[in-house]
Amino acid sequence: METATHESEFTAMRSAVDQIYDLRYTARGLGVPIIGPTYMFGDNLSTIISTTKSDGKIAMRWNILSFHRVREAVAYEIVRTYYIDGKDKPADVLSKHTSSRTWYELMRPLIFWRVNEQPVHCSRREGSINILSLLSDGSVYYYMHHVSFCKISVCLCACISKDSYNTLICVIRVHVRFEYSWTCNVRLIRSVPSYPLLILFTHTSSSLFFTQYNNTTNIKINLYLHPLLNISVGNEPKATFRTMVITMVLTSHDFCRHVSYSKHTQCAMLATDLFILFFKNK
Amino acid sequence: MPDYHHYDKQWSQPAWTNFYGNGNGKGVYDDPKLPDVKGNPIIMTTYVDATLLHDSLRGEAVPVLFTYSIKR
Repeated sequence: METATHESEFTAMRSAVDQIYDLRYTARGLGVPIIGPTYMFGDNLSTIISTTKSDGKIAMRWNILSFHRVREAVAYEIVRTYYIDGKDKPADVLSKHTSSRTWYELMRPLIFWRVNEQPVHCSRREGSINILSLLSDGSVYYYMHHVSFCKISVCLCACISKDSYNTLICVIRVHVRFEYSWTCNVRLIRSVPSYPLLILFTHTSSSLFFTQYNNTTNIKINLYLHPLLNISVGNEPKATFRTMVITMVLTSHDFCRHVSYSKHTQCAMLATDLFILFFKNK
Repeated sequence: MPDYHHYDKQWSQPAWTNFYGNGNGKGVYDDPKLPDVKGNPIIMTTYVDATLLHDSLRGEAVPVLFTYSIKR
């Protein structure tokens, strides 16, 4: 249990580095070229300095493994860490209570971006989104329909605060829904034929929580895949996958206590194989 | 596509090869079993945050990670 902000920030950065390693390798395994290192932004200046200065030291020795894990990734040019003001950081919508206007301004460049920069066609005024109404499936579907034109190719929400989960989840849900159980079986529940896609990435965190799916025996992975990214997978150049994606893992405290990270990765790879088989057969 | 040129300019790669070795972001990515690179390249971005003592019951902090990739 962390007792200092510096410590918790380093733990979060270590989790991010683990996630980046996994994501990069997963994308590389699917044949996706990645440009340069991953840009990591944080709002805690002391941790950023500690990871970028050669003479940086850490006094809390129990946190030293996370310290070196992050610095190693920086040394290997896999990650570059930068400081960013907390007001400009989209991750805050997952951890803090934010108004819909604040959330919209942070997420608009990511989710509501348009190719032709036309005005967002939305039935609601900006900043006046009713969260409760967004949680209903009808509204979610409406938003997803438009989000499908955004330019995000991979988006991973690794941690949703139980108090502020509502903002992002309501945007990400639907279209393709998977359910997997304790035995790691992945089953396609529903898909939209016009959205061929693939890629699944999962990540666990001790605080992943979602009240609607608070079930200790099953977790549900909701995916949204959009058709802008074209990827040729494997040895079949003609097998173009118009892909990808926002993935989310919605789970409960109990699940996270008993399932290791490697198990989750294994499930993710299993699901990825399922995707590939599914779309090869289409 | 995010423009990170100004971040690249202010970045100076630490000279850590004597301590952490010289990985250069390769290693596992050079596995010959991996498929050939195809398609549009992507840039990955991650935002990190942590909320200390977020869990009022157990007193645990919550890591918040937001990662996305955008194709060129």
